[in-house]
Amino acid sequence: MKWFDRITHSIHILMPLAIIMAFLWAPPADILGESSRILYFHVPLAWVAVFAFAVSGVLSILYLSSKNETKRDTFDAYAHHSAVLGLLFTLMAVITGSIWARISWGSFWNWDPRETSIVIVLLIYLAYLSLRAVIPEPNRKGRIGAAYLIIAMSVVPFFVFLVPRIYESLHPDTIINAERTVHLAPQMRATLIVSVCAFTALYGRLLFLQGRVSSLAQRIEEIYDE
Amino acid sequence: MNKPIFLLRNPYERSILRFLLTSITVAVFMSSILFAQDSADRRSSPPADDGYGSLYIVTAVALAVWIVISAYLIWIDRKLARLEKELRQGK
Repeated sequence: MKWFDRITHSIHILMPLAIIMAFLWAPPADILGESSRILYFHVPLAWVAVFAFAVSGVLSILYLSSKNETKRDTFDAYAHHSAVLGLLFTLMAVITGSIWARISWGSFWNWDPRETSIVIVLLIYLAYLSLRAVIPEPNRKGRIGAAYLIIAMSVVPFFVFLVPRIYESLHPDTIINAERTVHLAPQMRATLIVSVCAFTALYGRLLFLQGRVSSLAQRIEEIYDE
Repeated sequence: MNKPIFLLRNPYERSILRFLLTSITVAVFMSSILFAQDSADRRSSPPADDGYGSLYIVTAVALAVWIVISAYLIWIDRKLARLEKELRQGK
């Protein structure tokens, strides 16, 4: 995990670079003006949230298929931490989106299909936390939690990518759109790429730190139980 | 030796506390959405300031916030490394 540790340390350079590029280098969007700069935070946050949910689902599959007890514990802990981080990043995407909605549409919340679908995704993962919370026995908690995360991972694309396209939405066309073209100026595109890399590295860094904290807590608990 | 505070509660107490915390979070989140949907008032919002002066201020504030977060992450990283080393050496 040394390489992972080193890569995620890049946040200390990437994040200030993304901030400077977003506010001082990238041009404002034609119609939206200066408020469009929130794009460089809102889009990466939403991307990392979906990525974190996908990672938690994949780790849950590995947890259920693995026979090695130590590896299973690690997969379970990291799947849980990734789901929690996904929830945190989704919440931040909702907050930045609400601020943008207030500027563009006049209200923080409009029950737009994209807003409604993201609330459902949030509730799905909050329910996962409740589910894990009510099961005290670690093995059952791991198995039921992993099964839930796999099902949750399979419904996330439906709510994030399909629902907003089925219904009429005020939300601008996303980066992954029907025309398969990125409607951004080269400077804006470069800023968005740097920002996506910075937030992905931040997610990796937080996941790695959380994993180390839970592993330490477990070892301390074992020492006190001996 | 006394146990650290986070080890004191039994699993059942911890699960009830976590469940309550999650329920409270959901209640707060849904209430804030209901509050936010009534916030529409286009005319009262001030016009957007497109000047570069405010962009420099926003950049400075964002960088300051990031420096605090970054320092905190480095501090946690070092603390964890020290604890891991102590546990390895069996202290």
